[in-house]
Amino acid sequence: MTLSPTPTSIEALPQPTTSSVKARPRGRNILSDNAWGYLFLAPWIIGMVFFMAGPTLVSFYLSFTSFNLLEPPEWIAAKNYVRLFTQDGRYLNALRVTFTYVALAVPLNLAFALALAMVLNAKIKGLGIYRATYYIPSLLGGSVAIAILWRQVFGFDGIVSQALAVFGIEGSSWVSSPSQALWTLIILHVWQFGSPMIIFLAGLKQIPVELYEAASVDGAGPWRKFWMITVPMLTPVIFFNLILQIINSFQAFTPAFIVSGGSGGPLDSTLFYTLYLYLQGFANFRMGYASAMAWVLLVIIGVLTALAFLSSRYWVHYDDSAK
Amino acid sequence: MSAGLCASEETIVTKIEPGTLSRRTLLMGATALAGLPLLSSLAHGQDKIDMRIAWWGSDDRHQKTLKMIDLFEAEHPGLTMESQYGGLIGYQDKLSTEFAGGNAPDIMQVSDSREALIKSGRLLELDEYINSGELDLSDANKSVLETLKVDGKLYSIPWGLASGCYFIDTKVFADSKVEEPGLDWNWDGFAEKAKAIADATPDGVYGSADIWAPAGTRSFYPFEFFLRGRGKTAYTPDGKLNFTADELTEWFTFWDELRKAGVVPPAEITALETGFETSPIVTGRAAMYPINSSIASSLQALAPNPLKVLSFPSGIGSTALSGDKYGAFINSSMQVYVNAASEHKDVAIQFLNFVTNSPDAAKIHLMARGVPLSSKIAALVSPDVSPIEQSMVDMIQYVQEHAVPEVVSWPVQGGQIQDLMQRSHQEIAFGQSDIAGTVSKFFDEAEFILE
Amino acid sequence: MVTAARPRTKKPNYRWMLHAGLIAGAVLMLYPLLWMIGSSFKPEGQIFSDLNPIPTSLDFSNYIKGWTLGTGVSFTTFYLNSFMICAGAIVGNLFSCSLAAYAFARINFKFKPVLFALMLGTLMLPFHVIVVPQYIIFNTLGWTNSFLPLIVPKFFAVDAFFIFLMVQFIRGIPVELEQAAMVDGCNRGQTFLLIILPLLTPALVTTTIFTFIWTYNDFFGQLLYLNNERKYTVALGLRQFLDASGQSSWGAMFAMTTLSLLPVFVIFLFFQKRLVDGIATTGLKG
Repeated sequence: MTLSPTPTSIEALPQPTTSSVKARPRGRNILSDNAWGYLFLAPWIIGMVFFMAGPTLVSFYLSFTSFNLLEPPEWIAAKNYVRLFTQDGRYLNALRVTFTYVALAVPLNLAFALALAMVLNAKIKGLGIYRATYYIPSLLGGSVAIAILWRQVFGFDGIVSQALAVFGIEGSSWVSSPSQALWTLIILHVWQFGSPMIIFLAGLKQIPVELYEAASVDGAGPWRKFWMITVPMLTPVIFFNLILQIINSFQAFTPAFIVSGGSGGPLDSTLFYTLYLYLQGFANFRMGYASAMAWVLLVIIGVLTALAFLSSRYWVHYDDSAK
Repeated sequence: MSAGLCASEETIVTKIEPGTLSRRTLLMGATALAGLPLLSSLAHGQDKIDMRIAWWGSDDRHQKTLKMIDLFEAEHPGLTMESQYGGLIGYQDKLSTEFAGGNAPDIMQVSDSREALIKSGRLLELDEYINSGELDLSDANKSVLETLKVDGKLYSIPWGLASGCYFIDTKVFADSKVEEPGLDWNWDGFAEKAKAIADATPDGVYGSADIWAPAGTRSFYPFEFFLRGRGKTAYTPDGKLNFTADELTEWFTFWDELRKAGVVPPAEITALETGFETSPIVTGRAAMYPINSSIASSLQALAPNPLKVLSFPSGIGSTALSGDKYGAFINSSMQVYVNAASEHKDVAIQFLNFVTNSPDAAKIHLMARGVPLSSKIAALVSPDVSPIEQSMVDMIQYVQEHAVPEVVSWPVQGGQIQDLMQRSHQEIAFGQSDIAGTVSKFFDEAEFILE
Repeated sequence: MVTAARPRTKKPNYRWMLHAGLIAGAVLMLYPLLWMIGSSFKPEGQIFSDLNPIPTSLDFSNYIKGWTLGTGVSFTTFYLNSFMICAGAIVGNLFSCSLAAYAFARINFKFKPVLFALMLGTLMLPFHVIVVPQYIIFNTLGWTNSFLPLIVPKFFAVDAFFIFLMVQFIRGIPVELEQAAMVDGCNRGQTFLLIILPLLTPALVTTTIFTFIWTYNDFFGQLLYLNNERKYTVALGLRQFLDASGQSSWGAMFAMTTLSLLPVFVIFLFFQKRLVDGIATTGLKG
């Protein structure tokens, strides 16, 4: 099961060991920590063994084969991997597109989500309605309607083009321009900021009010309180959102699939990594090649996640390890 | 099977011990319950047959197909057909997964993977059944059947005939005082009409949509039509490209000039299309639109003006893209296949026959998937169809009569070459690369794909 | 909006500006949806040829036409199926993920770092490459064309996202509470049930909302495992209107998409209050 390099690299990381509750007074605790741990983990372990482990190992094996879904896989060693990096220009382009997307969409989405969570955590009238309203775009998820809606916003006759025309800027069609299409997907991702916003909101709720009250007594302004209390107390949640956003954005598929009609166009400008992977696997029947792509992506995400975990000890404050 | 299991249990129990009253009652009850399905199937007086059929389409097509299936089931007591249908999105992914999992339907439409499925022996070869008369194709156009063959064998029958075609907006033609072209038009005629309309209409309205209109997603077929006009095929029988850089250059240049002249729209407009519902003929930006004819009635429903279906222009007597043969051919995407692993191949073949020859089925189905394969059936339903479908019938008739029968089927990677064609058109249209550069890149990438 | 990002504004005129800003932001954000709702009241032919988002008249025919498909199956069936799958998935995730999360967050057991990394690793492999092997497993089990492949795995914590979410939240809960409980003689199981679960309410609510929305919107899994239209869900029902090769009923699709947002909207409206109150009512203060 130690196929991926990820587990080994994270293994070395500080895990919540220091924070665990030691069952000091043994009392009625007849089971050891090991037994309790595995008891709680039992459903997960069963799920791993029956639903995840097999398919994962199979995909790893397939990444060294030529497999068209219909005929038995044929062992070709590392040829898929070599081909990816030395021959496939579209693959390198997909990498570039995906990294650009992640680098822009993730921070923008998180900043937006945090800002709105702060506002919608205030005690104002109609809070529930506001929260729900701002969440609506996220409810739409990967709806097929988005393909058309995005053209209504970013097409030639779209509202963005019309608004720019008011300022005398020549109308253009963002969604169908190779240099701007990716931006419409970044905006789409930022637009659907609901999930991290909810997680931020839940995190904000966990910050004890007393801290703010004490700071007020000390004469701290809102800006100071934000940096001295909110941000540090929120770091576990920020960290969580960051990790999840990195993982999810690298695997972003539906937005490009829907908006570009499954092509990643125009001119491969929105050819996300997983979209290309999907096209190779299901449209071109190169499941072996697609599997190799999947494992390279796993390494990329794994390394970045490991880096985030490594850095977390310098900036993430857990309540349980604080004392 | 359930009855057999219970019977053996009964024997075992009786052997071991006579059993108490309560246990016996219980067992008898269980036996009776388990026997029920058997009894009900006996009541039908037939072996129970369960089959699965899959297709993609829209509501109208689903309704008509379900009604046809009801009729077929009524003719086959004991048969239950489970219908698996939906839109095109994800259809092929699911079908491929089902094939990989050994759980594919008995009868199905196939969207993209026909070559791969045939190559791996997953689809049933039909010739045997045609020879034995179980599948009667005597009223079908022979050259159409010829073009469907893969390595000389037939694996599918069209569930409605269709071809790449041009839809024209008759109102824009009339308003621009441009005479409508006839079915025998050529590329010069096309360019001339398109220019005339572009000149007669206000800025922002074009003569025709560009050839790589994404909704068509079949941007390789028009090129293939052009090659066939010169008596060539797009691929060699062993799956290599069968055309030259000159021919590809000629093709790209023809479209590039029209684009630069403002006769077809610039790249940003063409790329805006998500499907034919956002195509320029619907939004009123172009008077001609190339796509497969099977969408005729849907396109008409969305378009503001009355449309007409025209066959694809040919190179005959043309200076541009010249060729002395008629290149277009019947290339229906709506074809019906049988799973080679089906347990009920005979019933599946009966269904194909029913689809092709049953007048009752045809009266239900009309032209939900294009013009019926059998000429008899086509004549039977023609009075019942709309003007646009009538115009489609005329076009199909023309193509059937004129098409060159020789077809070399695409290799398994044909879909990827088509994508490459699409991207190459885009590169030129967006000005990312000149024609010479694009052509040489096309051949490089094609080699990589086809290797 | 940036200036409004401060936790508490005290002067009433700021409050007014805050509302104005929030409403303006909402309108901007909702424009695409308003366009869709407008289009759902237009006749089919007008949707793409008429640029004005506001319909000339209120035409409900798209709603009536869309609710019952021509095949006789209606959205009533799709909604019931969606709700059943969502309910199963929610119960499964709440049960299995909270257990796993507690173990990862609080208990010291052998191989924990390895298992934790493995858990995160399952999030990182694109699902497209494990779809086919998984399909083969479920097909072997005879579960295709049923809800089982969509529900049962949730009871075995395959959604690592939620484990990770809960781990983060549990680690935010002060350890002293548990230590006190253990001093009182509670074992791990009791501590989990009596101390952790109640304090975990916000994360559990978040899990509920997300599981609902994601399951409700999941298209690929449902498409893959459900064959019969009577087993179809809302997400699949919406795609029944679209067909790239034939007639797409965009009006009906927009109408039904608009309606499909309602249940999620209502559930969100209902649960977000719980989200707010959750932690407050437990009386945890520092």
